[in-house]
Amino acid sequence: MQLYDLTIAEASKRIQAKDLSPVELTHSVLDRIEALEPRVEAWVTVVKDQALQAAIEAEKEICEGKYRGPLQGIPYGAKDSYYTAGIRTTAGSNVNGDFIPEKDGTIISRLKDGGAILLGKTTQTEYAFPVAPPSTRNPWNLEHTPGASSSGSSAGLAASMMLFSLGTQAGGSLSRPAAYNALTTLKPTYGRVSREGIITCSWSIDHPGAFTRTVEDTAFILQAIAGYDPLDPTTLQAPVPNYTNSLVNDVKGMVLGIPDSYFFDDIDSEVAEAFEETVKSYKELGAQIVSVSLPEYIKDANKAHGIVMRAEFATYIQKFYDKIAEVSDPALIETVQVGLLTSAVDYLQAQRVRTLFRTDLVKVLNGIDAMITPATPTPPPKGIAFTGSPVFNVPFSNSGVPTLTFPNGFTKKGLPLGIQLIARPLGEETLLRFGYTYQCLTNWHEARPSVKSE
Amino acid sequence: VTEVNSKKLNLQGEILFPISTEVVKPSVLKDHIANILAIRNVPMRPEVEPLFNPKGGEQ
Repeated sequence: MQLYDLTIAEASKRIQAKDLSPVELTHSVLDRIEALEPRVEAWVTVVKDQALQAAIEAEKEICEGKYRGPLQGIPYGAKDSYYTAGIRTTAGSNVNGDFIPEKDGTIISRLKDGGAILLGKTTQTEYAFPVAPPSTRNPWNLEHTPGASSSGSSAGLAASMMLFSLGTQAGGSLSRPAAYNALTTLKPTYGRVSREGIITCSWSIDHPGAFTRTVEDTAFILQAIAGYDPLDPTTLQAPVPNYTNSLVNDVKGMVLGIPDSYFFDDIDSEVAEAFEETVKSYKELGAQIVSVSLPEYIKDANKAHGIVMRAEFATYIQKFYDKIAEVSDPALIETVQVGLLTSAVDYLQAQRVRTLFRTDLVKVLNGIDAMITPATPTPPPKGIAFTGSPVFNVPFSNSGVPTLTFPNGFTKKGLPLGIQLIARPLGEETLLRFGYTYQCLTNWHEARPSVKSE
Repeated sequence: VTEVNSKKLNLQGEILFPISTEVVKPSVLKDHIANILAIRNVPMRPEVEPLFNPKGGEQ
């Protein structure tokens, strides 16, 4: 196996044992970027010299016996909405395209403390809205979309240009690209991970998260980034558990709920088959499968999500109205205009609907250990103009409950498929246990695309 | 929609978004209004407050 194909767990063990140099590992992914970037187009900025310098420092610390944990010496990329000190941060827009933050955001800072090595910034749609996709391609088939808005972070990891990456989700921007690229991602409970230092799409809906290759790696990242942050007043005070304790290969007696509506009305047949196979696997592993009913107004709750997103973004971007009108994608201009047409009463009513939906959804989730659904209605669509539907992910961004997405098969044409598990607020440990057990049984997560340089 | 278009955004005082709603596709405005009507019709319990309270996760 090539170094750039290693998981965090594999690389970390070798780094700690001084069997692998962080410098060697960083060179490996930088070479990979050089070879494949012309085809995949995952990056806005690569900070080669800075990354190599950080790798040298990580190596020095390891040699001196200063061990920072499993992320020490591990190279990663961050979506371009993350504040990175001294590195241009565009959020995929020309509106403020020359912005260079003076300091790192909280997550970047926590990863730095853990010894992770930032390689650069990855592509995204403008301000993470479903408009103007970047030219990023899906490494599993370059004619297909990698999904959005975290396009570069997902495609870049699938192409082995890094060992993990950071994204954000307000609709389906973690779960959908993870499914489309055969990756694992955990969208945490709203407030579990700080949003400080991330250019917002919508304050009350944005969720930061990471793409990894495995559930085990996801636990490492969550451990590093979760927890209260005085700089983000919406973060939760709840103590952060040891997430690696949840990596238990056993779901016997645990209860998985299958929703009796919404997720199966208009679904691709290969997605449906893979879903049924996954449910069968969990049944064989000893999980109890039950049917659950979601709030009947789920589709109207999704509308509340859209209203809130547009109104919050129109408010955030006020300072740049002139620039938006000048340089932004017409669809984003429309988003702002519609946001401006939202009255205070309608915004507050939309937030009320979200609160109601969250309350009613959590009642359902409290009766089971987790809910299971396909991650997307279809495999990654052909072309890059349409980045796929987030309709299976929006209800959980809307309600702020945690989800875990991981690969559960491929289509006959070799396109990745994903499964989505949902838990009650702060149910991340349960999700990790379900995901880890599945990945102990299957090897979908071990597959790598055969994309080659030109 | 007509009424919204005729007022543009000037009635909102200091908001100075330089493109009028006339360039918003009628279909987009129609969708927006449909969404607003839909959320007004969600069966609401009177005690539900209009705050999305993420701290609910800690209870």
